[in-house]
Amino acid sequence: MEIPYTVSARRDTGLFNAKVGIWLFLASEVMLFGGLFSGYIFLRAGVRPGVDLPWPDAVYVHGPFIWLGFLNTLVLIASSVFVVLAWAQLKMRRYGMYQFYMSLVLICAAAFMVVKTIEYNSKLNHHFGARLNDGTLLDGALVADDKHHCPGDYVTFEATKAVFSLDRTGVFRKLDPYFLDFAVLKDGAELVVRAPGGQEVRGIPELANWLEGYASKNPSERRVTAEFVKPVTFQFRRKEVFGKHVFADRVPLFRGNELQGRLIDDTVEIEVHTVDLQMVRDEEKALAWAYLGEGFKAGYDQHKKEKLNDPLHRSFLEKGGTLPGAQLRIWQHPHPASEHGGEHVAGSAHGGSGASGHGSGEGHGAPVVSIKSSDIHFMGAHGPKFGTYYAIYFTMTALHGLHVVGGALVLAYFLFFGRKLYRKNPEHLANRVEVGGLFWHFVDLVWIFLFPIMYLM
Amino acid sequence: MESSSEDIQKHVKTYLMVGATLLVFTGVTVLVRTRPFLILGFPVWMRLTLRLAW
Repeated sequence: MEIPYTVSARRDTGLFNAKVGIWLFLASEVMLFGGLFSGYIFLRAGVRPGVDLPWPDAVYVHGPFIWLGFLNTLVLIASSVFVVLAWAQLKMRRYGMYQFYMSLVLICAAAFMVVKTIEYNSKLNHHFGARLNDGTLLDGALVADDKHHCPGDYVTFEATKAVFSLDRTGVFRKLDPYFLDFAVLKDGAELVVRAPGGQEVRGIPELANWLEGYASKNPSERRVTAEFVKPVTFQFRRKEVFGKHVFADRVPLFRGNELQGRLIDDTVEIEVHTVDLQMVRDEEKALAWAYLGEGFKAGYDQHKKEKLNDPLHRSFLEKGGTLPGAQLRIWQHPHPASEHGGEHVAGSAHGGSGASGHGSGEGHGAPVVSIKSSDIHFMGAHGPKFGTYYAIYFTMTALHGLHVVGGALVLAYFLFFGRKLYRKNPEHLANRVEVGGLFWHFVDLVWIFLFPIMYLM
Repeated sequence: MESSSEDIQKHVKTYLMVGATLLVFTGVTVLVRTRPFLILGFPVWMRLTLRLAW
């Protein structure tokens, strides 16, 4: 059966059916993104100065990714032009040139997604921030442990006893036997447990087997306590600690297990790239300086002085203007060592912090500091949980990214499976490409708005 | 819905113009944000230069 109005226009609408369809679809898309853009405006305008966390400065948040975002904008604009050229070539019945331009569109889409992946990876896996109890925000990157490849937010605990839960879920037990194997045993220590009957069990796999046997022999027991023959020092990633909270004498683990003993180290190592004191009452007494030292403070003070003496700012202040806190109270270290999110260069960036837990910031690279977890109010990677800005940023850019992928798939279908239709009715394929192109323009347009509000404002 | 080659070329030309405008204005927006003194500081720099010159 021939579907009518795929090529010719209907008399009542003056358009072929697919075009009416795509405009209706785009209207629904405008409502979707319009709602999100409105959400962004309300979230941003609703920030109460001095009460809520300040809206982060996009330039500091994105750093070099502003230029990658700009590159992505150019790539999408170019792809929109290429899709028009592909359509024009079809209209002029030049199938080879149509294939060429459509291939360029797909290459642009792939390039956009590659840049987006690099950016997301950097934010989710490399950038890290800690807000201290006085409101200081220290932003930078977690420091990798050369030996264990463990991120800087680990807990070191010397355990003398372990309490194991003997729950009968079974499924979890097979996946992760007794949940100790994620822990790193420090300095090649051997795990030897003295079981309640006096039997000695060596190593985690054997321990798991022994616990399986113990649980099946004692079905009424819910927990069993075993002693370590010699105290064993563990390192945990904080996210593997139940509730992310450790005590001086115990570490609660997931699914009811627990280690008992002595807390050795509960600090977080961060390579500090940026200090943000917008939420601190007295900048001079900020907790940041206890960790960052005088060198970093001198840099901050100098930055503030330069900002206030800047002719542009002075002319603004003379006219009764006030400079926003983001202009004065955020300072970025001029040489953030691992800003690009690739290699952590703890060695060169230590700046004298050593094991003392206090960096000096006097070296060439950004200082690495060990912050006591009791001084930290909130910390995390720059993911959606890091703040309202990050939540809306990831929601909108990820949704836009999905649209890029969806649009590219449709256009790829026209490119790779369009020949048969072209031979049968070239105008029909041209109409399809036109409709796909309209969607592609919409995706481009969304990014044209998204880029300045997320990366520049 | 056949279109003439001229119509299509005209269409393409419009799109190229739109694309070029978007590129230029995106570039200007990024520069205003990242290098504000280049553009926004222009009147201040001009005034300072004139004052020095006098």
